[in-house]
Amino acid sequence: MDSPSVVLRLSDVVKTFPGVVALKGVTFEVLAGEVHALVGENGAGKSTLMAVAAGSTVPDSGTVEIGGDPLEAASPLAAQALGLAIVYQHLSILEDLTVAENMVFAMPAAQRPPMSRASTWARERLAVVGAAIDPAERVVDLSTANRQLVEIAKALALDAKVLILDEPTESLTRVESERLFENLRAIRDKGTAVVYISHRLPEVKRVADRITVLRDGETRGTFEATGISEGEILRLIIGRAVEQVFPEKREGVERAQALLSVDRLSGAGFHDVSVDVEPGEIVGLAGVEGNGQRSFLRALAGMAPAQGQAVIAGLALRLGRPTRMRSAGLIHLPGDRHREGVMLSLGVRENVMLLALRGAARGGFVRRALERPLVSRQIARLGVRTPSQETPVSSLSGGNQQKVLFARALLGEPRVLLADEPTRGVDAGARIDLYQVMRDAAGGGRAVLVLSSDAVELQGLCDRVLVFSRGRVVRELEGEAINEENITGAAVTSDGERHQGDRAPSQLRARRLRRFVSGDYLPAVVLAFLIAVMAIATQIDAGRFLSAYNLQSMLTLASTLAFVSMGQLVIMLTGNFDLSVGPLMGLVTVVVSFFWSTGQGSGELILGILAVIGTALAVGLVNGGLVRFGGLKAVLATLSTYIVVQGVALQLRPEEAGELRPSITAGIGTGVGWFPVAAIAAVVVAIVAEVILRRTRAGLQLRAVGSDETRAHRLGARVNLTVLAAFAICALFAVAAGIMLAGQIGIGDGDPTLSANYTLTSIAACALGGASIYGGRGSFIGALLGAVLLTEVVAAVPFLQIALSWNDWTPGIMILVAAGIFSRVRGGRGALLGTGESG
Amino acid sequence: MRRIRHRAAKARRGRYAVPVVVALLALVATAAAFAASGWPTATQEVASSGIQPKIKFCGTKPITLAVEDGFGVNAWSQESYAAVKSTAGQCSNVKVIAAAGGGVESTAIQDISQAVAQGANAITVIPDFGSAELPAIQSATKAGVKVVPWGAAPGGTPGTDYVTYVDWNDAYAGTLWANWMVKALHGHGNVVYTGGPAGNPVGADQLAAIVKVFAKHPGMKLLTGDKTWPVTNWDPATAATVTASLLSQFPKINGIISNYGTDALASAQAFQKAGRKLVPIATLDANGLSCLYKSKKVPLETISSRNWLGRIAARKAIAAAEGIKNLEPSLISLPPWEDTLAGKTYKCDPHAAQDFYPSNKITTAQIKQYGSSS
Repeated sequence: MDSPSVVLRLSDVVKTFPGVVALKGVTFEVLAGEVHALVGENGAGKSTLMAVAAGSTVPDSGTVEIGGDPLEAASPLAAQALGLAIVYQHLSILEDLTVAENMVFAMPAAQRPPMSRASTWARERLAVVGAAIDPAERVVDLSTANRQLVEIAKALALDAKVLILDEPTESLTRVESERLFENLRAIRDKGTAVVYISHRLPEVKRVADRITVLRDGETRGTFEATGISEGEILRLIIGRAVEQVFPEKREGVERAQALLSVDRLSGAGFHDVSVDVEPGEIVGLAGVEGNGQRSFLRALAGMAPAQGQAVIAGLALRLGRPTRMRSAGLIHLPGDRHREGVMLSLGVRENVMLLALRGAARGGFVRRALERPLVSRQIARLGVRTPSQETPVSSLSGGNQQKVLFARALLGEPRVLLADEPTRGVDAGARIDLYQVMRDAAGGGRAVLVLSSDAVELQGLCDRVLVFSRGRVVRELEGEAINEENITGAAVTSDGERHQGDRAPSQLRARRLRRFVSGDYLPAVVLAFLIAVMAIATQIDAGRFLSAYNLQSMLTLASTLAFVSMGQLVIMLTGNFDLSVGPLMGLVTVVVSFFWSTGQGSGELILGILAVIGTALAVGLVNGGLVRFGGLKAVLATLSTYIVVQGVALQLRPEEAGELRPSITAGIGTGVGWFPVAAIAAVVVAIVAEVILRRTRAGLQLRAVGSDETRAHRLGARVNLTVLAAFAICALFAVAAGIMLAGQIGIGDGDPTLSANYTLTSIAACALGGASIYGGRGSFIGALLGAVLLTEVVAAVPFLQIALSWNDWTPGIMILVAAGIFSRVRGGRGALLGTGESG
Repeated sequence: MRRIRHRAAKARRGRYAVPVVVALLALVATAAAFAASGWPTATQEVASSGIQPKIKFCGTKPITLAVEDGFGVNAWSQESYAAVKSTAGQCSNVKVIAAAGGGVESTAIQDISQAVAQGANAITVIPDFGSAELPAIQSATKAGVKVVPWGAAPGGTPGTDYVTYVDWNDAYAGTLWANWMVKALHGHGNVVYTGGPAGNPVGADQLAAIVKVFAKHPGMKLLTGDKTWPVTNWDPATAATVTASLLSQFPKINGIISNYGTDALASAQAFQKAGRKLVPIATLDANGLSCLYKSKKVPLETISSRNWLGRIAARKAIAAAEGIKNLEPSLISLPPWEDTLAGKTYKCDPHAAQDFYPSNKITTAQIKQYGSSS
C-alpha cells in the first residue's frame, strides 16, 4: 500500500469538564483501510475524544477533520455528512420503534430507503452482520446482543469513511464477535477506517492494525498491533507494571463442607441445576447468552420463582423473595448496573449504605457520624475513585460504579456473592482491582458465584466453572481444565447454540401473535370489541340505544372528543401532556362567538376561523416554547397556560353570550342521513394521521423523539422543532374540537367545567387507545376509538338508569385494566425476568 | 375539581331574563284570570308549596317523562328530583327516566339528547349551563318532545323553543333581603353579601337589587362592594374560609346576605369559631340555619329553596305531552318563608338534617324514594 490517506484527524483537542480536564491536547489520526484500536481505562478520555470526533461534544480547542474536510461546527449531522458513523457503547437505539424504523431513521437523507422498502432493506443490511432479526420486531423485545447487532448493521449501512465502534462486543457471543471481526476486516479492505474501542485486549490484538493508548487525557503512543505485547499495552494503560492480572487461585485446599448447596433447582429457563459451593471458592457460570445461567443466578437471588432445594450453611432457603435471600447472606450484584444496581442520582455514600443502614442507625435514625467511617473504609479498601462521598454515582466511571456495588454488597454481610457480569464496561485497571476484591471476598468462609461471558476472565479467576446450555449444566470444569477453549467449546458444541434463522412455522405464528399483542393495534381491536359489546348490551337492556337519533347524538359528541384526543395523542407521543386543550376549546367557542353571531356575515366567518387558528398557534407555541426553551415540564407549562387561557375566556365572556347564527350551528351539525359529517371527518383525519405517523419521516421523527429524546438527537432528529410542531398541531386539533363544541352549545361560553372535563377525558381516551405516557407509543385509531368508547359510556348510563357514579367508575376501571394489560404485554416480559432471551 | 359548585339559587344565567320575565308575567296574568275557573294563583301555589291535588294532568296515554338536571349531585338536587318524580309518580301511565349531568357541561347536554333517544315524550330539565343547553332543548322540541326547563334560565323563547319556563323571580329575592336587612339593622350597619360562583347571573341580579335598595339608606354599607362579591361557589367549606377572611378584614360586620342557605350556615359557624356574636342573616331556607338561629335568638329571614317548583314543572310537562291544558303560574315571586321580625318564626326541625329544606314540604321518605337520578 502506498501511504494511505488520513481520513480522521483530531488535532490538539482540549476538553475540560467542571473540575476535570478530560483531554489535554490529544492528536489522533486514523488512516484509510486500517482498524485502529483506541484503548485506555474508563475516564482516560476515549469516549470524550470520540464524541468530539462525532460532533456531539464541543471541544474547548482543537480541530476535527473527516475525510480531509474540517468539521466546522460540532453537530452530529455535520459529522455524519462528512462520512463519520459511530456506534455508541450505550446504544443509540430507540426502543419503541421497530428494527426497520430504527435503521431507516438513522440514515442520512441521501442514503435513506423509502418507507415502503424499509423492511426489505433492513433485512438485507441485517444479513450482512449475520443477524436473523425480523425487521418488524420492536427493539424493546430484542435481547441486548441483538440490539448491538442492529446498531452495528445500522452503522455499516451508513457506508461511512470512518466507522467508530465503542465496546461493540460487550454483549455478543463468541460467534457473533467473530462475525463482526470478519465484517470489520472486509470493510477495512474496502478502504474504510475503523476506530475500535474495547477493554478486551486479546480482541484488540486480534482485530486491530494499530493501537493507540490513552491515559489521563493524553496519548501514550500509537503502535503497530504486531509489535507490542498485551502486557506492554496493559502497562501503558494503567501507567504501572502489572505482575499479573488475576490474583492467585486457592490451592491445595481439602474438600470442605459445602457453604451453599443447591439440589435440582428448576425455574423459568433452567432445569435441575445442582451445585455445592465451598467456602473460599469462586465458581464461574458460563454459557452462551440466554442458556439459563442468568436465570439460575437470579433465582438464587430470589428475583425469580424456582423449585428445588437450596441450603446455605445448613439452613434451608425459602426461594422467591430477594429480601429473604439477602438476609440469608446471598447478595446479588446485578449485571445491568444502571437499571438494577446503582441509584444514579444518589451519592456514593447513600448507594454504599443501602444494605447496611441498620448498622449506622441509632433509634431508627441513620447517624451520619457512624456512616462516614464505614463508607470511607470501603472506598479505601476497594479503591473507589471519587471526589467525595457525596458525589452522584452517575458521574463515576463504570468501574467505579461497579466498585460502589461491591462496597454495598460487602457491607451487607454476604455469605455468598452472586456477581452478574461484574466487569462489563469496566476498564482494564479497575478489572484487576475487582478480581482482587472478589478473591478477597471469597476468603473468610465466604464464596463467590460469578457469571461472565468473558471466557478469559473465568479462566483466570475461577476455581471451578459450570457451563450452561439449554438450561442445564452440561460441563463442570476444574483446575487446569478451566480454559477458554473448554469453556466456549462446551457451550458451543453441546448443541446449545441457537439458530435463529430456521424456525418452525408454528413458532413464527406465535411470534406474529406476540408482536401483535405487544403492538400498537391491540388496544384498537379491544376497544372496537368493547364498543360493539356495550352498544348491543345496552340496546338489549334498554332499547332505542341504536336508534338513529341516539347514534347521531353520540357520534357528534364522540367526534368532538376524538379531535381533541388526537391532538393530545400528538403530545403524548412526545412523552408530554397538554393540559391546556380543554380551556383552549372553551376559548375557541368564545372567540368564534365574536365573529359568527347573529347579524354577522361570511366575511366574519373567515375572520373567525383565522382568529381561532391564530389563537391556537399562539397557545401551542407558548406551550412548546415553555417546555423546550423555558425548561419547564410539560405538565407544569401547560397547567399555567391552562389557567391563563381559562382566564382569557372568562374575561372575554364572563357569562354566556354571543349566540351563533343558526345557519352556522346547523352547518357544523350537518350529516349524511343520521351520520354526522364531523364523524366522517374524524375518521378520515385519524386514518391520514395514522399513515403519516407510520409511513413518513415526520411521523417517525415524532415517535423517535418521544421514545428517547437524547438518542433521537444523536441520530439527527430536530428535537426542538418536533416538540414545538407537536404542540402547535395539538392546538389545531383543539380548534377543530372547539368549533364542533361551539356548534353544540351555540354560544360563547368560558365555563371551566367544560375545560377540565375535555382535558382529562382526552388523556383517558389516548390511554385507552394504548398510548404510553412515556412517549413513543400510541395510535390515532386507538385514540379515536377511545373517544368513542368514553362517549358511549356516558351515553349508556342514562339508558341503563344506573347511578351517575358509573360515569366515573367505568372509564376509571377500564383505564386501570387497560394500562395494566398494556404494560404487562409490552414491558413486563424479559425486563422483569432479566433473561434477555430473544427467541 | 368537578363538583365545587353547590347549587342553591338555581335561576342562573339570566341573560334572557327580561323577555322571559315579560312573557311569564303575561302568563301569570292569564293564570290570575283563570283563578276564578279553578287555576291556583301564585299565592296559592306558594301556600301549598305547589301541591295541587285537584289539577288533572296525568291523561291516559302511556308516556315517558325524562327528569334531567345539569348538576344533580347535592342535597338541593335530591329535593328537586323528589319534587318532580313524586309528582310524576301520581300518574300510572307515566314512565319516569332520569339523568344527572354531574356538573359537567358536556354531560348535561348529552343527557338531554339521550332522553330523546330513549323515547321520552316529556322532559323536565334544570339547565344549569343556561344557554349552552338551549340547542339540545331546541332539538328535543323539534323532535316533538315537550320540554319544561325550570330552576335555571335556558334563554330562547318560551312556547317556541320549549313549552314554558318555571321559576322564581331572582331579583325580587334580592329586594326582599335588602329591605329586611335595613329593618333588622335599623337603617345603619355593615353588610356582607356572598353570591356563589363569580359572575353568575342570579347573584348579579340579586346584588343589583340589593345595591338599589341600600342606595336609599345612606346608613347601610355593603362591605363586599357594589359590583362583585367574594366567591363561595355555593360550597359551604369555601364559604367558611371566605367568611373567616372577611372577619379579619372587617372588624365590624352587622349582617349577612347570602343566596344559599347552606353557605349562610357556614358563615354563621365561622362567626362562632372566631368568637364573634351571630348577626342577622337574610338567605334561603336551610334547616340547620333555622335551628342555630332559634337557639341563639338572632333575627333571620329566609326565602324558600323553591325545589317545589319542580311539582309545577312536572305537571306542565306531562300535561303538554298528554295534550291537556295547564294554566298554573310559571314565574312566581316568592315571599319570605321565615321572617322573625314579622312573626314568621324559626321553622327548625331538630330531627331533620342540616341541609333539609322544610319549605318544600317534601318528606324524607319521598327524598329516599325519588331523590336521585337512578
